[in-house]
Parts: sequence; structure tokens; C-alpha cells
Amino acid sequence: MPDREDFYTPENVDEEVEALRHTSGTPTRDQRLLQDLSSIHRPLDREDGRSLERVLSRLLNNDASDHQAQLDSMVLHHKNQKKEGWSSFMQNTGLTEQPMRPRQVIWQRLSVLAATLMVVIVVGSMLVIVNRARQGHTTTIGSTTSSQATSTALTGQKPGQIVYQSGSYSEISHLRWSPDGKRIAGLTAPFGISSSDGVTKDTLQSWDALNHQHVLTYKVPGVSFYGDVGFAWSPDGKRLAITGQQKIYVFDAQTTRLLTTLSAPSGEAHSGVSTSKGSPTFISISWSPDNRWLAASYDGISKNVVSIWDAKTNVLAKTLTGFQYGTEAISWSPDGKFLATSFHNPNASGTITALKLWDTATWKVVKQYNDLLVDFSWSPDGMQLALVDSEPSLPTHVRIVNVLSGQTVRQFSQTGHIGEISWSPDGSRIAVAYYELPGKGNVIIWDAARGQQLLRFAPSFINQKQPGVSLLSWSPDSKYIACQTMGDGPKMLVWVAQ
Amino acid sequence: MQRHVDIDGETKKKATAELFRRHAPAMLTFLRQHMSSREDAEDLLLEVFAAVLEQKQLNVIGMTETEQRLWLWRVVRNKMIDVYRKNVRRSSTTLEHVADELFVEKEQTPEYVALRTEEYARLHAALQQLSPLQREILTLRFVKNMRSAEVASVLGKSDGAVRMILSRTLNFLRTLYSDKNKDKEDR
Repeated sequence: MPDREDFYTPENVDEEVEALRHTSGTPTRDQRLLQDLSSIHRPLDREDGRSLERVLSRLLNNDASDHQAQLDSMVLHHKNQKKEGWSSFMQNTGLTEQPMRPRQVIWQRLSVLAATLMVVIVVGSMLVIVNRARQGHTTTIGSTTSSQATSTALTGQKPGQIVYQSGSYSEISHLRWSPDGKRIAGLTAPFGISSSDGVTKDTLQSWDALNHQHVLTYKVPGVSFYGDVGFAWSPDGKRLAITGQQKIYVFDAQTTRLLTTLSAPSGEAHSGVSTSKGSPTFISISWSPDNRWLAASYDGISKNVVSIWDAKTNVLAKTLTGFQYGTEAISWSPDGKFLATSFHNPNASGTITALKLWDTATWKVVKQYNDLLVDFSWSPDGMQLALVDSEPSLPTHVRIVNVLSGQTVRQFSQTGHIGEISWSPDGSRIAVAYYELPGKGNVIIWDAARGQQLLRFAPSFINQKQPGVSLLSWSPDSKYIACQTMGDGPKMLVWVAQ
Repeated sequence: MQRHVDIDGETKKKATAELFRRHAPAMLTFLRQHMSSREDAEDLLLEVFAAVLEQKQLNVIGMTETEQRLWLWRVVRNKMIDVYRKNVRRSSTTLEHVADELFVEKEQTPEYVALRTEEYARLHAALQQLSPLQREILTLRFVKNMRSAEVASVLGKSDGAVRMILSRTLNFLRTLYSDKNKDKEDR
């Protein structure tokens, strides 16, 4: 059984790391870990590229008659060069510059032709599937009288089936389904686009949900996104709001026009300010279900607040305080009665992430959950919350509680660590993304009422380069889940959840 | 018959090259850290993948990615121990002296070499399973040597959030490393 005492604490993690680095003697487990972390993440340099080139060349050259294998391996490398930083060295090797014998050229061309044909066949059949899925999907949303068409279109789509899979990106940070179910918006960074400091820059885009067509790009002035940010569709699907450090930008989802820029709380908007607490920033964003209000959590220098604006007039309507140690994710309840705000809350065992529930009529805190929260999700009726907490040990179970009483109604257990949870919009199911070591990450869909496992999403490739999926987003009709694969070169997936 | 063997050999080479592409970079990084010269690291890396080619059946190629990784890292471990032992036998000097010449760390014993290889392989597998944000934080913290506050400002996250994620991730990753008191891990 793995031990998991909290050796590192959020308050002192920097000092703890530095102390370990400067201790001499036989390395302890923690020193070995830090040593490995420093080396394992270091990108290969040019000399390493040459080393790899030399070894591969020696490996394949031990027999002069093995020329073909070299060429074949070269093709393999070439195909995969976008995924592997070091593989670009292959392009400059002697291997690639050696003239090919005519037979090899013909052989290679035939291979390319065969591969092209295969791609055409695969893509063609995928397009057919996607088109059918799309027709069915939009029909379902557009009308309730067309159930026959829907069921026809969905015939052949099995639960767990992937209906769209993108190529690899350098980074994908959020995917959100539009309220009408037609589009998905997300932050993505293709390969090869990064700033001079080497940090990948994400772009906010939206596209047709099931085939990634008709891509719209929302240009956020002067802001580059790093890693996670908050963004959300307005419930009417007309607007997209995104946090950009000390501003919030609201776009017209259709025209991509920037409609509004909202600012950080007064006295906090010092661009570039960096203190021991880091740069102040907006963290998370949530619209009220009636489109009237826009709430955002802000983690500042002197102020950690949740600001609520009138989404029509852009006037700041309310500021919620009481988050001394920092704010985290926020989420309006689907019935609009509560706003859930997670925040850092120090207690005897260290800083934990807790949850406050605000009554949106009185703006009083009506309930607080002091658990070490990993993730939470509202039931669509707003009466219950699904919580993942990691107390007392690992986040291995989902607790469904009655919102106000806090009483646990049901509990599901899961092997491995649960990273995310998401209640389906129709309320029937709960999707849980988890990973276990050594091995794999998967998604389990639970029956929300009975606590039975309904579906385990574990596509065959998940155990290989992409060892799991994350950032689950249900389609509004609860039929599909959009997510991204974890690991290097993440991909987007849309799969059938029902 | 002869022809069959030829085709089999070529297929194997192709597949080995693909395995090399996938796994060799991480192994080179590890070997560079633990062997005292680049040449030694290259030699050992070559031996590991030559072992794949030498397999009579094509079983490594048919394995899942996880099995392949485990298999290859086991070969790395065994080869490192081999190199260690061979040089000890060949040399008339003391063990410590040999270890000094061949390996970077002074604590090298066959057991230590085995332990370090296993730990590194486990870490390598575990990192694949972390979120992109977790990995980015680890890179900025341990490769660029930024403090949490700097990491936070680069990533546009709060310092508290970065500290929380970093400490949790480290608490999780250290469970992959053997505690001296606990002699053996399960694998």
C-alpha cells in the first residue's frame, strides 16, 4: 500500500525542496525524486540528438544488407517527427541524405500510395459516421418531434465509440460545449507556436462539435494564455467569457467581436506586479443560468474576492469576500439559487480547498464544506452536489450530498485517483475521470441514482502514448462527452456517452 | 525458409527503430545522468536495443506500450549491472574506485543501480499520467528552477494554487520511490 503522508506542504514546499537540494550524504528518496525530476524534464540538446542518431545508426548498420530497414525506420521517424522534439535530428542525419536505389524508390512510393489509399478510406468512412452523427445530433436539439430521425441517425453509435478525434496539439486546456450543443469552444495551441520564452500560447476558438469545422478564433487583445484559465459560454449561447489574468473578456460567440472587458477589483490592477504571492489573476468564471449575472473568482495581492457583474450593463453588482488565502473554482447552481465558491482554507492539517455556498437572493453563506476538495459538480436540479475530496486519504470516492444539509446520500468508490467529476445535464449519470498507477487513466460513467457503473471509456490507444483523458465536457443533450487525452501531444476526443 | 527469416528480420528492425524512437530519449537522459561519459551511455543504450533485435521471437514488438516500457527498463537495469560487474572483475582496483570511474554517483552498487533504474522508470510512467498543468509546473520548478511564485506568474495561476498542486504532486510522486526502511517495493 503506498504511503501518502503529506511530506510536502503547500505553505513551505519551496523551502522544503531547497532544503533537500542542499543536504549532502547518501541521497534520500526525496532527493532522488528531485534529482530525477530535474533531469527527466530537461529537453534533449543537440548533442543528445547526435547521440541518439549515432546509436540508431550503429544499431541498424551492423549488417550492410540492412539498408532497407534504415529507410523504413526513416519513414517511421518522418511520420512521427511532429510528436517528438528530438526526432527532428533525423532529418539532418546521413541516413536521409543517402541516395535511394530505384527499387527502393518504387517500393517506397508504393507504400506511400497504399498508405494514402488507407487514409482516404478511413477518413471517408469517418466523415460518413460524423455526418450521420451530426444530423442526428442537431435534430435532437432542434425538435422533439423528430425522434425517429434521431434514432436512425444514432444507429450504429455504440456507447464509448469515438465520433471525433483530432490530431495532436502542443496543448489543449479547456473544452466547453455550447448550450445549443452545436459547437465546442476550447483553448488550444498547435505545435510549433510558442513565444520567445518557450511557453506555449493558447488560442481561444470554437468549432462545430462533431467535426471541428467552421473554426472561429476569438482575439483577446494583448493577452497570452498560459495553462489553465476560466472560460464559459453564456447559458443562451450568445457570448463567451474568458479570464485573462487581470481582465475578463466577453465575446460575441458568433461574430467573435469583443463585446466587453471587465477589470480586476479596484486597487488590484497593477499589470506585471509580482509579489511573494505571485501575479494577481482571475481564476474561474460562471454565468447565472438566466444570463443576467457573470461571476468570477479573483486571486489578488490584497484582495481575494468573487466579483459579480450585471452582464447587461457591465456594472459590478456584488463583491463576495472571506477568501483570505485564495480563491479557486466557482459554479452557479443550475437553478440559479446558489453560487458555489471553492477557496483555500488553512486548518490544522495544512491548507485545504473548501467550498462555500452562497444564497444568491441574500448573498449569505448558507453552507460550507470543509473537505480537501478535488472537484465538485452540481446536479442539474441544483439540489445535490457531487464532491470528490481527498480526505482522509486519496481521492478515490465520489460523495453525493444534499446541498443544504450536507447529508451524504450516496457514495461511489473508485480505484485510483479521481481527477474530475461531471454530472450529466439530464441528471442521470456522473462521469468520473480517474487514473491509477502503474497503468492507465479512464472514464467511468455511473448511474447517478443507483450508483452502478454504466460505462467504462477506455479506448485501446489510451494505454499507450496518451495514458488517460481529462477535461470532460458533456454535450447538453447528455449524449456525448468531449475531452482531451493526457500525455504529450494531447488530442481532442468526442465520444458517445450513452 | 531463408526468405521467411529475411522478412522477419526486416520487420523486426523496423519495429525496433520505432521502439527506439519512443523510448530511447528518456533512457539516454537517464544514462547520461548516471554514467560518467556520453560514450558509455551510448554503448549501453545500443546494447539495450540490440537485445530487442536479438530476441528470437518477436514478442517485445507484440507487447503493449506499458509492457514494452517495463521490459526495456528491465534490460537497462540489467545491462547497467552487467557493465558494473564486468568492470569490477576486469579491474584489480577496489569497488569504490571502479564505481567512481564508471558511474556518476559514488553510492553505486548493483542494488543501487537496480533501484535507481526502477525508480526512474516508474517516475517516467507516472509523469505521463499527470495533467499538462502539473507537468508544466514541475518543469518550471525543477528545470527552470523557478520558485512557486514565479511559476504562478508565468502560468497565470495563483501562488496558492501552484503550491497546492506542487505539494500534492510531489507527495504523490514520492510514493514511487523506495523508502530505505521499506526494503522492496512491490515491483
